[in-house]
Amino acid sequence: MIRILHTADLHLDAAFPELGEKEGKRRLDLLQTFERLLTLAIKNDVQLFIVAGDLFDTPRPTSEIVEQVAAGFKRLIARGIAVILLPGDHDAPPDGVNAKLAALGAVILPETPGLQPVTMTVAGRPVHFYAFGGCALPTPATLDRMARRPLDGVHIGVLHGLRPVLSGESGQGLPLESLQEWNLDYLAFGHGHEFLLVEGDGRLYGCCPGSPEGLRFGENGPRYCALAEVEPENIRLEPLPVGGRVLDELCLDLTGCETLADAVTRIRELHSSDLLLHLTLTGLVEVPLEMAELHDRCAVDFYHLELLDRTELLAGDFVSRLASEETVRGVLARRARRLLDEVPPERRPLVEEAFRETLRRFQGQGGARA
Amino acid sequence: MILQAIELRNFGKFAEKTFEFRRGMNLVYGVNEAGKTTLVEAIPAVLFGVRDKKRFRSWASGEECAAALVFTGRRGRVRIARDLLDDRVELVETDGEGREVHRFSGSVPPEEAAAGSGEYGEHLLRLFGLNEEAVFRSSLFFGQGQLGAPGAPAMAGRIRSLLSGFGQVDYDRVLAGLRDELADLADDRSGGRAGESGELEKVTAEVAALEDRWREGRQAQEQLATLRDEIAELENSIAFDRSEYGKGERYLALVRNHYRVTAGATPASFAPPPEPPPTPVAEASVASSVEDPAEERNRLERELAKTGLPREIPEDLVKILVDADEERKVLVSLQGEAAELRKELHGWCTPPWKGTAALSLLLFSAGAGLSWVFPGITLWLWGGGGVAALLPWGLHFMRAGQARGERNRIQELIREVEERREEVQTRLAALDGRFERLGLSPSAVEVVRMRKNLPRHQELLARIRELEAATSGVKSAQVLEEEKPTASSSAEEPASLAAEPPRTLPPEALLPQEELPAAEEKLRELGESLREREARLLELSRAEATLRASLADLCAIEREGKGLKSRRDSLSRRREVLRLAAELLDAAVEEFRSTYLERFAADIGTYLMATTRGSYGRISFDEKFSLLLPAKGEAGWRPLEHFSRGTADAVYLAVRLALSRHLARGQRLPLFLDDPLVNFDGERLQETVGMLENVAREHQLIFLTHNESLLKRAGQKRWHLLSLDQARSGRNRASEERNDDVEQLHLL
Repeated sequence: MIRILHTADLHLDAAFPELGEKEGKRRLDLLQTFERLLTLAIKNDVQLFIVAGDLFDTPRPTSEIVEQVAAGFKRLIARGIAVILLPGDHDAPPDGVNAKLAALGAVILPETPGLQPVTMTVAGRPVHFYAFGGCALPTPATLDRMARRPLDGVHIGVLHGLRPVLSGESGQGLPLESLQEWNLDYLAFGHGHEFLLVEGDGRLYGCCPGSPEGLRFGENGPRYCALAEVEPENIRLEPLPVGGRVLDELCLDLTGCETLADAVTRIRELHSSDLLLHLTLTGLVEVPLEMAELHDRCAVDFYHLELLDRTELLAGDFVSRLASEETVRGVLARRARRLLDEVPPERRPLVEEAFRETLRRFQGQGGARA
Repeated sequence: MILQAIELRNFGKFAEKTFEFRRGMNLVYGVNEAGKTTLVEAIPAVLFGVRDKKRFRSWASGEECAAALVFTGRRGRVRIARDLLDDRVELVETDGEGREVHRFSGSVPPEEAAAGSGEYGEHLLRLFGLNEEAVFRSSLFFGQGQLGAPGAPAMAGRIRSLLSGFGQVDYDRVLAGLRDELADLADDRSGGRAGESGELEKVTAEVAALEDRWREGRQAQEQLATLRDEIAELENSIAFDRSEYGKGERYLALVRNHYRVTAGATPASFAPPPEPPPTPVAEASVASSVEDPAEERNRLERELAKTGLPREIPEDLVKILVDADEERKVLVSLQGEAAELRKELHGWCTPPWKGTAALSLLLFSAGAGLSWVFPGITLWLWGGGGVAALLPWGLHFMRAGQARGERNRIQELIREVEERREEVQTRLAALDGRFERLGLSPSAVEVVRMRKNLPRHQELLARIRELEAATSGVKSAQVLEEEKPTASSSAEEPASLAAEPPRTLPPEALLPQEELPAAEEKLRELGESLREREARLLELSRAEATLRASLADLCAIEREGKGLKSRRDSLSRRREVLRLAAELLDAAVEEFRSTYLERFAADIGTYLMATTRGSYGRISFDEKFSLLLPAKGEAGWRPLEHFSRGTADAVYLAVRLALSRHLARGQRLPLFLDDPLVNFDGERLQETVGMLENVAREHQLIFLTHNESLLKRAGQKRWHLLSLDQARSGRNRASEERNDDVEQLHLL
């Protein structure tokens, strides 16, 4: 029985230009998650620490980061935990950084499976690695070489960039039959940023752990790495929660808001200092909301806040008052309402936005807005 | 609707003061700095609040600052009071009989009030037709010098602003702004900036370029994959052929040697053995030295015998040897364990009782002695002594018990170990039996020796078999057991086999001499082809490396592409929005103009009659809201610039009044003029004042000034007069008598 801590897609040294001044902090978050992974590996007494690709976001990360990673791996190796790295599509070709890590004793797997798997001895037993990563294309000849060889020991496949197509799914990727043919003891996938158990026909083949720290919106909620106990014919898998900040995408209905202050209060109810939130505002409001000001007043309650204005104005009382005026503004309001009723539903948000845009340019702060 | 009173409490320089007004013309007179502006600013202050709380804070008292306005109209009376510091507002409307019709009480911060939202805003809208501060100010307030008409374009701009409904911004500018941004985005304009393409176009072009690069990169990736497949195949074939070559070489060398030996030194019909193909791994040299083959074979056989293993090793022997080895190891370790345990056991012997006994005896005798000396305390001594004696015994028993427990435990362990040992020994016995059946000695020494010699035995055997195979001319690939699969991807040479051909060759296996050159030729060709293939492998590997380097871009390209595409989509959406907005606004303006233009002209015409005292009664607009008056003495219209300043002023006033009325939805609201005629001189002044008087027939006018001549006129024309000036109480007796509210409170 061999115990593995399987992770992937850490993307150290990634840039976060959309976070503005929080960028530096976020990059540190990634490093902290890396340290947490090491701690988990040590605490759970694993024999293998596998990173199935994209440990770094670029093939040439900064030297500080490489130093920290190297130091971390040294700690693992000193405790007898073997470190196995696969180049992913972001951090291949393996020159430079991987050479340094290899010098420490980390095992860098090749990008395409060779004639024979990479063999090493772990806890007195042979372990064979079948690797597929980098930017390689899955040709039939390459995929054939992923099949199990008649050797003693544990056979582990490490793949990056190939998506397993599970039963019931359709689309491009690795069919379940291939996995069955290969007949390996554990499959360590990477590249997909969401946790995915690879199973079919009642058998568990392995998993894709997903990114341990969410990088972009879409990688929401809790993040995991995989703790696997691999025996011949049997895998026990446990997702371990890891990751510091939480990303989320939410919708907030602001119906009935009459002032900016109302909106601010409602948004701030979601506050959390660890939350990176993409908030879509919906509902019928009674005052045109100025997004920049709204953001300025709410952003302090979150790690990072992005607002998307999909509120409706035209059906409300505010516009009714405008529509009763005998001014250009009044005519505008009346015409906008008519247009809203005439266009197909998918274009309605555009009409709302156009009306808001015009209103914004007229109102300004006590003056003209060019 | 007129403003009946303004009540001030700690407002600016006024501690507690009420000002009352009437219909028609009201003149508020005071020198500069007397507080005129403060007074008139109280009106928007009450209605909409002030953002800067310090502005009207009283010099005397800082805690309170409040004001109230009282309006009266057809419907009744409205009183609006506001605390300017905390923005609490109270609005009470009563009808003609004094019954309360509406009441509002609440906090209305300036931002909200100025925007006209909420319940309070509704009330304002209902009462005045206006609820926005910006509009209020730009229609009803005339600041200093603002009565004079601005130049024509500015006038048109003002008109457009007011007509927009926002008061400050003219729709033309907004439209221009929208169109500008649209052009920046997507180059919709036909002329002008047709050289630069909009941002959207740029991004779309970038996306297209990126897609081209991506396709190239994808091709490169496919090439790389094919290349790698080719390389792998090549490696395979090279590995296989190299081993074949080696075998062939050795065989031919054997044959040649045979003929040489049997036919003496032969001329060079035998070509020297072809050079070995260059090997990347400088391991074994395949150069076969032609030695004495039979001698060699014998030697090998002898060595083989020395290993103590039979020539033909039965399959299980290996396994048995391994097992036996293992079992012996286990046995040794078990024996060690047992020894350890025994040692431990020994350590847990019962603690001696003699010491404890001695101690108790001592105590006993001591006690006895004492009791003899002090008979009185015998009882105590016995009691204490008993306890004291018991203590060490108690400890002793505890320790004894513990020791016994431990001993039991250890003995249990020892028993287990012994059991296991027995098991191992039975297994060993079984293995020994198998040894004997195979005809080998089961002695431990022998077994170990056999084990150690196993690999060497296999090697030797292989060599011997090779010799045999070479002599019999059979290429047996099964012989090459040494070529186990290894971790490296390059095929290895068969392990060092400086196989020497045997001295003699069985005749059936010998190649006829005539065929020898042909065979050698074939071998040479094989060698050539191998070399070629290796050169090609090198080439391909280089190509792979270069392709590999350029491939890193592909993934980066994909990411860049994603980013660009999302930018393009958002720009596209923005363009749609702006286009829609511009269309909406354009259409609204068109509709407005076509609906209201005529009506305005008519409304303004009516006011024009009043302000020009009958000189002009009609006005016209062009599309840009520039004004035109009927030309004097001829048909047609002339732009306003062609007329006198006085006329222009009159027109402007008429326009403002008409618009104000329009914005107030038909109500006639009071107008507030804060010294607007300060720049007017003599005649113009008089004319304008006359104009205002006319207007005052329909609208309440509250006129502030420091001009003394107006005071006189006020008296003559029976204006309502208020004075902010202390020293003026007895100035105009006529007006004093007539106006009973001349007893206005003075400055405190």
